[in-house]
Amino acid sequence: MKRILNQYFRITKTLCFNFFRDRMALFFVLALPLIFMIIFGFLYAGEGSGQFRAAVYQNTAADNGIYGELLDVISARESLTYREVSSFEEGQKMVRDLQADFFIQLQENGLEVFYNPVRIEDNPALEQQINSLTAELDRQRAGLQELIAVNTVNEAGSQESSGQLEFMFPGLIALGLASAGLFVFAETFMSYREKKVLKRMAASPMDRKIFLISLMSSRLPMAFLSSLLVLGVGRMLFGITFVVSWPLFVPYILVGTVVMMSFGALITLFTSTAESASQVASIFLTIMIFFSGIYFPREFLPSYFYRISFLLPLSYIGRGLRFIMDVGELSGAQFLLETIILLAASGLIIYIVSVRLRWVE
Amino acid sequence: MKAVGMIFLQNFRQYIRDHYTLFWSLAFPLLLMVILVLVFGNLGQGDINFQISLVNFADTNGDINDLDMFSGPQIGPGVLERDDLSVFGPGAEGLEIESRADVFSSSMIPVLIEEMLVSIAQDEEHSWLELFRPEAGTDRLEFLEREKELLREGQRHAILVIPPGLNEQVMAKIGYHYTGIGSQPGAGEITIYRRPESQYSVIASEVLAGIIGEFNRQTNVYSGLVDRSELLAVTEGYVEVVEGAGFDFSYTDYLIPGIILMTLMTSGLQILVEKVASLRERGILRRYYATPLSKSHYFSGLIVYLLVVSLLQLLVVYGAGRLFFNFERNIFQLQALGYMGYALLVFIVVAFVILSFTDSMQSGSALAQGAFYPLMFLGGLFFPVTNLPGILGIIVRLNPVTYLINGLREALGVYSSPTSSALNLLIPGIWLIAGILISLKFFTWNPGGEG
Repeated sequence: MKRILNQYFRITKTLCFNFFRDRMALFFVLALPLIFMIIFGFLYAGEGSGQFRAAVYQNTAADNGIYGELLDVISARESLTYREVSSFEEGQKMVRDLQADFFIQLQENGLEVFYNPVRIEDNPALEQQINSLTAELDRQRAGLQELIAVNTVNEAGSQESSGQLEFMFPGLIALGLASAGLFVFAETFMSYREKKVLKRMAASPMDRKIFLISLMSSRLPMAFLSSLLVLGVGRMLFGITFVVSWPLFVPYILVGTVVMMSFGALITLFTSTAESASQVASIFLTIMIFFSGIYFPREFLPSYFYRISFLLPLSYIGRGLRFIMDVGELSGAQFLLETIILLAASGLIIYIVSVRLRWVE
Repeated sequence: MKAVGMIFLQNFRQYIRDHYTLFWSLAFPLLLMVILVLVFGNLGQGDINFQISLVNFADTNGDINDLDMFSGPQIGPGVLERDDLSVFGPGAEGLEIESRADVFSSSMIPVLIEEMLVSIAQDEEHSWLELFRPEAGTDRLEFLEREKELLREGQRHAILVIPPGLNEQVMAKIGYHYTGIGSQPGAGEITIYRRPESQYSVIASEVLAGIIGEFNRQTNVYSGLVDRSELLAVTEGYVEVVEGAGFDFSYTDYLIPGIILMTLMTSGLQILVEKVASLRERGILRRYYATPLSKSHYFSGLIVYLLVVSLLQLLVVYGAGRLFFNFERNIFQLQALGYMGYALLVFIVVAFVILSFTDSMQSGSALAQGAFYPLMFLGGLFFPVTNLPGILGIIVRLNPVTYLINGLREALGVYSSPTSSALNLLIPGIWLIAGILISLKFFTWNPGGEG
């Protein structure tokens, strides 16, 4: 037993160091999730906490006081700033040039509001700003009463002020796990076989099963490091602290990585070289990134693409991590069921592949 | 010249034979285009279906036709006109409301809200709403809990809850306005549950809040609290994305120039980096230069190869856009071609800068990937990047892609450039010159050997 453990630790340590020296692997597992986090994090955070900028223009000589009241109402709001413009064209240009989020033109018969059609995702929030602004103006000017108020309740676990930013983080962790797991067999194993490293190992007294377990274990430190980096840098840059259930989180990182390893192993059955296996794995990873809710929520996908997302393991790993990190979406029973099915499927795949896997070309 | 042609042919043959490079350079941009057009094009064109639950605790029947009994205070003169209800949304005109008194029936307001949403859901032309309501005899509290669970699981976008006593609260507030007796009552409160992490859920809740806000305005008018003429008339629209070209906007037209630039980036930052780094690493270039082939011939052959591959990519993206997404801009006009050529040149130079500081294929590819994503996402290729804080805002301003895409979109008449034409040439030009200088100083065809 001691000999087996010694063998396991020694091989794992060697493979670990080898993995940490692989710059492409480091990029995909550690750097890529961080790059996405910084880019999309600031994009989403900017939407939520930034001030909306209005361009305002009085296009009527009739001064009935509305213009002044409009400016007062805007000034009183912390979420809004304004800049007065001297023509309709200037207001339009400011919105077009992304220097203003919307343009309000005061006409004799009321307000005209113009948005930028390119800002597809932002416009509903901007329209809400305008609704609220005009309601306030009507209250002040015409005595409009708030007969019916709207109370919006966020229903998303206990994660406070859970927004798109929080939704993104579990996806980024899942991306790190996918990058760490998918290429173990699809690249490393195949490349060792091509370079005849496996042939030499097979000739030694080393137990093949121990080598496979060590190979799989060698990616776990990187997977954990990637997850902790996403959480830590996210906390540093965006001040987000998740209510992480650590007793679930730690084993789930292992589960997620192993699941992705099994799909990487599956690829080796249909490819003959390390390069082709690695390319197929890259394509599979890219498809999963788009269809599993990493770049944007899966619900944005058209219905047929949405159905495809249910076939992709990364969708489930993302959902599972969201459950563990308390960003909603799954019930406890569903989480358990999905995890068991994922593990069972992965176990089956790894078993089939290990039976059919050739150590020598 | 023959040597240049041979180098081009050799590279091009390898390109055609390499299925994976073909995927990344030709199929992937198409896949991305399809996904982004279908995803964000839908968002813009309102082709969305919101799953919304409605739980009305204020009424037991939920049928507007049963509301013929007046039990509320009769306030203010006048008769409701059917046209007045059109503001409540498509289909609301059909509601059988004959007199102002009906508005103040004991459960009129909750039922009116419910019927309004039902009408929108049943309207075939505006089928953006799929409404879920408890069936007759269902416990509404249980239904609400179940729907909350579905909301958390992503199967509902929002839940609108009308509380018991809403009508009474509204009536009390209207009554107070007229009588001034007692203390001022609070507003009736409708609750909207949403999932803040879901963009669709947020949009759904905002749309519902907008509908309730408009309902509030109209109730004020019908109850005589305010005069319609005193309320601000608000009209909403979009700015012209190209000055003087009207208010038509197509997200596909906006996206395709972005996809084209992305493919040019792929040619420079991925295909070129990978090819040169790989040949260098395997010592193939060193062997080339032991033959009479000069470096300038090899370089020229490589550039011709990249030009042909880029042209191929351009044709594929353009053809697919034209065939499947009605993209009808003329990309073969001089100015647009000029921008695309300029962009390719910039990306080639950036690739050589990357190759200047890496000595292996692995590190070259990693650095190229590391540059690719920020350049792409912070350059506004697929959606506008605006108002970013701190360092990211600076990156956006220094990013050559920001200016190249602005220039290309303007050249194609898709979107007037937010930056001046001079800047659109100058910033990428600075990258170009700086990149050439850096490459001249640091790039070597044979790292570790002679420069």
